Amino acid sequence: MNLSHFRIPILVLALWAPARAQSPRLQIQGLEKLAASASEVVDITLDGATLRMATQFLGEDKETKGIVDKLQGIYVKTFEFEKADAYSKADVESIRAQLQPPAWNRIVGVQSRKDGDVGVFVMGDPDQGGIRGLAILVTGPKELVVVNLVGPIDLKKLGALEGKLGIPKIGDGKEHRDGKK
Amino acid sequence: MARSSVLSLLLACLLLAVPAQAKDPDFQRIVGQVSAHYHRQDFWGMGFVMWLAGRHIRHELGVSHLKMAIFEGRTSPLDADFEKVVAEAAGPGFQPFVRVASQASREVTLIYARPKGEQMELLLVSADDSDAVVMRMTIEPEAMAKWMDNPDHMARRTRKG
Repeated sequence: MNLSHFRIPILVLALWAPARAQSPRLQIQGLEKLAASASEVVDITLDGATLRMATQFLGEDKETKGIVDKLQGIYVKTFEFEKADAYSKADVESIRAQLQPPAWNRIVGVQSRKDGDVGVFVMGDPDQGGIRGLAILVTGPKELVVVNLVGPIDLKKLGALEGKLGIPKIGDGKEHRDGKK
Repeated sequence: MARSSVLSLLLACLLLAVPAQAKDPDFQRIVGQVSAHYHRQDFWGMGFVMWLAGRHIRHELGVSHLKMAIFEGRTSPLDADFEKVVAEAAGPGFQPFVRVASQASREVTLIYARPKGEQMELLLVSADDSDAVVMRMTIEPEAMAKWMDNPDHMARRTRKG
């Protein structure tokens, strides 16, 4: 039996399997240790029946409704700090370690010494095509934000969610939440 | 004279008002569990404060049904036990929605949500080192749209209300 015939299928399976196995829901409990040094911590959770119900309250905003309708969950965690550099790269490693290829791919990366780094990551859907989940990681000097959207997302329409449901405005890469840069 | 007597009677009723949860066993249970952990101490004029705050919240935040309890206490809400107690008190029907914890003001606001017919019902528990408020409210659709737009801002606004 010539095993060389199986090399390519095995390689494809090896690349495909992690994206299937890993959940698009990020495990963010590892960040809890930062709560003690943060001046404020905000968690927003919208999933299950609450998310279905919440969609009905989005008013006339059909574009936002169209995106949220397909989602299974929206999770936002924000830490604000009084002083700059209150957390280290190692503190965020538990999140970065999850956002690795082949399951996750970074599609946007903005680095700024002044405003911090912004990364937008997507998890592809090997079965259906499209996207199974999205993550936004904002690591500013005085702020750390993790946004996790679980479910199919049309990236072209993602802008409609900025500034809503607790999701920060990303825009040109500079995070500005509640109107402040 | 008659007018001042009526006003005095009204004021007395407000000051001694029976907390809103008295006729609602479910809300009473939630308040009981939270206040037991928080070492509840009722304060003079509680009924009046509740009436005033309730009126403001109903008017400003589009709330149709409101149950509220306000009390003083002496337990920091920033410990993990407080959140566990609130989650258990909320019960399985309510799902976590917003959590705001501030080290600066030593204050925690926890909001749970559950669908109620075509409306949304929110349970808000907010506490700092000295006082706590427990609210269960039904939100009108228009007001809920504001919650969806900016949940953490609305959580802070309701707490201040």
